[in-house]
Order: sequence, then structure tokens, then C-alpha cells
Amino acid sequence: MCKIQYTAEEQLLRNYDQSADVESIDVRQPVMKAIADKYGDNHVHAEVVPKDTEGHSTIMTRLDKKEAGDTRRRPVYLRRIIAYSTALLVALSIGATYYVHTAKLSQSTPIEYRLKEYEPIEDPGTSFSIKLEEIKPEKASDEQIAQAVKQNEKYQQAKQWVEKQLLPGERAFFLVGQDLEKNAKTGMAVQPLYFDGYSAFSARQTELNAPALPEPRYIPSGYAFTEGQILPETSIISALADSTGTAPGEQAANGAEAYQRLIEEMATMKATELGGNYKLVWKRLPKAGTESVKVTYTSDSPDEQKITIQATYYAQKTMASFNTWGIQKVDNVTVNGKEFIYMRAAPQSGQNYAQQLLWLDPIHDTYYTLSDTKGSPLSQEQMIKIAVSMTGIE
Amino acid sequence: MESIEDKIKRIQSGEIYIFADIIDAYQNRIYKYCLRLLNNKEEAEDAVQDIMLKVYEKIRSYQMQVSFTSWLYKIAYNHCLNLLRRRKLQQQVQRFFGRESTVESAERVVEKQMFSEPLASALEMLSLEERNLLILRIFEDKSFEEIAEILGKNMEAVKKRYGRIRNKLKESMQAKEEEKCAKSSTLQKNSS
Repeated sequence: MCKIQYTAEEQLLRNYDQSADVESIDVRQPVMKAIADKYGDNHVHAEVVPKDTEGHSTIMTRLDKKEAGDTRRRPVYLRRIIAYSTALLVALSIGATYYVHTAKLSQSTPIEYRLKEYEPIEDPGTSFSIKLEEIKPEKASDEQIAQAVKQNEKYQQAKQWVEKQLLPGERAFFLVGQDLEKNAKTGMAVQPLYFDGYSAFSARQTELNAPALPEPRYIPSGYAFTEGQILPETSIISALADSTGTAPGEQAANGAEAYQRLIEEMATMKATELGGNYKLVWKRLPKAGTESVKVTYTSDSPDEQKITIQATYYAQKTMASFNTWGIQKVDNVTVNGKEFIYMRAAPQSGQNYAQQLLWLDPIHDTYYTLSDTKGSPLSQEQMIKIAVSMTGIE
Repeated sequence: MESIEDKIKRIQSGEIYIFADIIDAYQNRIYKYCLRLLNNKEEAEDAVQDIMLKVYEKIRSYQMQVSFTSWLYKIAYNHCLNLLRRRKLQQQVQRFFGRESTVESAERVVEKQMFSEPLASALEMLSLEERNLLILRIFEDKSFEEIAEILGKNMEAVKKRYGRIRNKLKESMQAKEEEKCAKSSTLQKNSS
């Protein structure tokens, strides 16, 4: 392993460290005992012997079940039992209304919901709707598939390259292809604002007038907030219409014209070579409002299962469509009159989630997607419970 | 001498008693790390026991693509994060019932033992995530590659974030020093 090179400033900071005075601990005995107690006779009890005087590795002996030796402190599970009992007594003695105070849904609180056949969800005020559509992959020859794979690879390469050029909150439009004047693929790259704490995320979200994403009052145990993102608007048409000062009613037509002009203009710009005869041109777009926000909760399990919740404004949209190709089960879920669409993907499907819930908030013109990841241990009820805990309808 | 990887393979294949070697090799490193995050000796020692139990329970699913140390630190960080959240909740409950929490004052005492001034005060200005990154880099001797593995983030993003945190820390430390100088000059004036 290579030794880390510290800068002078880092070296200076290291001088403030006083951990050299911290006494060592030895938890081998209680941990091994706890393992033996917890996992029974099939697991081994180990006698732990301190390091020998020459500093050689610990002597480990496989032994039959035996009494543990003296330990410096009570094992953690015993202390935990004592702590829990004390906490319970305190809670009872003060007649705690803790449940109300924290406003959290407990892990075990059941939730009542009804399942019915799928139907689109619509906001009657704006006619915006969330619909499901099955888009089957087109049949193609091996050569066409290989070409599509190559194009997609170059598209992703271009998108990542452009994203690296952007500052947080910026967005850009790009063209990528072998011949930029004919058949170039277009795309938008954005650099979200990232947050690793919920409070900072929430404060900035309010400041930027981003879509509301209420903090879930229920999150399954073992999951913790890991990231919040605020994403700039990605509609190129409205971006171009905005930049030309078009009135809202004329946006579509003028935006489309401006879009065509932009592509023609960009096709003649000096391109960046991406290899394989592919070229890239890109243009940073003026800063705009925020279109959506996203939060991610990650489990403490080694496979790091995730829960992602995204909120998107739909004021300028008429429909949000979701592909049901590879979906095993689709239902509408009703909780206290509120409608959600529930989807469960087939294990071998191309979808990157196992379950997804969709719903909308007509007051804030916002629609929500809540999804887990493949191999997720979450049940349908847990997913519904998360969504419900964000809507305040329980 | 048998490497950690070989020992893990043996544990995964059923030689459970070798796990005590893993505890022996890592317990004090993880203890100091927990202490730096939790600022409480007793909690840190309990945390090490819990973390080691978790590691044992999950070791069969550990895959060698990630370094074992990074995997262990990731479990430790998530555990401490949960403890700190629970602590915050307890403090809220205590405040709700009108009980003054003594945890904060105890924290400061221990923190001052782990880091001397002005760093100790400057660290208080950082969020837990920022503090964790700084601790991993400067005090736990982790490379950016290892930190990225522990945090499950891109290495470049980690480097950028680290740069920003260092600037923030530097500014806080300077502010603390200036405050200290201003106080001492006022005291001198008063005494003369």
C-alpha cells in the first residue's frame, strides 16, 4: 500500500491530533462470546489470549463450549437490555406522548390500503396525467443492435464529458455523431446541486423554489439519507424560448424554430473528437429554474440497497408516461382516497428497480416517483407506507 | 504471515474462531475512528462491539472487489451515523419533556481530548459528513480512492468536496484565532 503524501497544511492539522493518549480497548472476548451466545452451539467459542511479549499474532485456540473468562465490562447486548429496560420505565413513568412529538410512523404501524385495477391518475385542474405505456424494443438485426450499442456508448461518453465541464446548477445542450450535420443525436447534460445532509438540501430547495419533497416520516429501518440533488430544468424548447424572451403562448412554435436553428449552428462549430470517428459539440445554456429534486436513502447492508424519491414540476407538461415493458404487476393503490400507481418489475426485466410508486400533488403541480433497487428487501406495504408518510393522509 | 484476505476466506469457509484475529487487528483503529465521530468513549467502545458483530454477521457476503478495510469503515460509519441520529432524537425528546441534556457538555470535554484547539472548535462548525471526510483523510490516513470506496462516491467528487471542506475549516480556524487574539488584547488593555 502506498503511503499517503500530506501537504504542509495537512501536516499542521495532524499536529492537533491527541489520539495518542487514548487508551486501547480489547473487545475480542465479549464479541466472541456474544457470537457464541447468539448463534448457539454450531458456532465456536474461542479463547482469546493477549498478544505475546514478542508482539506475535494472537494465539487462537478452537475450544468446546466453556465459560467466558473475566471481561472488563459487561457485553454490549446485556448493557443494551438494561438500557432498553430503563428507557421503557422512563417512558412509562412520564406517560410519554413521544409518538406524537416526533411525528414519525413507527416501523410496525400497519397501513390500510386498497388495490384496484390500474387506471391513469389525472389532475382535473390542469389535465396533467400519469400514464403507463408498454414500449416494446424494436426487432433489429445483429448489425443494427451493434450500431445502436455503439451509438449509445458514445452518447453516454459525450454526456459524461459535458457534465464534467459544468458547474453545479448548470446545464448544456450537445450534439454527438459521426456526421454532425446529418443524424446527430442530441442531448441535455446537467450538473445537479448535491447535498449529503437533509437539512442543507431542504434549505436550498426552499430557497430555489424547487418542487416540494416532504421528508418521509417513515423510512424502513437500516436505511439512511445519503444524498439530495436539485436538478436544473432540462427542457431545451423552453430553454430556447426563455432565452429569446418569447411570451409563454408562443413558446412552442418559437422554441421549435430556435431549436432547429441551434442545431444547424452547432453542427458547424469546432468539434471535440470522441474516437471511432465520433464528434461532439456542446453549448452551455442560460441558467434556469429547478425542475426536479431527488433524494436517496441507502441501506447499511453490504449491497447498499437504495430508495430514491423524485419530485418533478408538471406545470408546463401534459403527461408523464412510464414504460411497463418488463413489468410483472401494475395496480392502483388507494389510501384514504389518495391514488397511487404501483408497479413491480419482473426479476429479469431491464428496469433498474424492483418496485415503483407514482402519485401527484395537484396543489403544488408536482408528481412523485418512489423506487427501490433490484434485489430490494422491501415489501409492497413498506413502499406504500413511505409514500403515504410523505403525503400526510394517514 | 497470513494475510487478512486469507483469514477472511477461512472465516467465510467456516473457521469462525479466526474472526478474533480480525477483531484484534482492527478494534483499536475502529475505536479511534468511532471516538472521533461520536466524541464519547463509552459509546465508541460499545459501537466497536456492535460493529464487529455486524461484520461477523455480514462477512459471508463480503466480496474481495472492495478492500476489507474500506468495507469495515463503511459499516462503522453507517453505525455511528445511526447512533448520532438516535442521540439527536433522544436530545429532542429530553428537551420536549423539559430535561436538560448533559450530553453536549460531555462531548466537548472528550472532543478536546481528541483534538486540540483551534481545530476542536472549527470541527464543530462542520456537518457530520464533512467531518467524516476530513477525519478519514487526515487522521485515518485514507487515500482518496479508499475514501471514495467507503463513501460509495466518485473519487473526483470526493477530492473536490475535500478541497471545499479544507477551505471551510481553514476559515473557521482563522476566525477562532482572530477571536482569541482580540480577547487577549482586550484583556491586556483592561489590565493596563
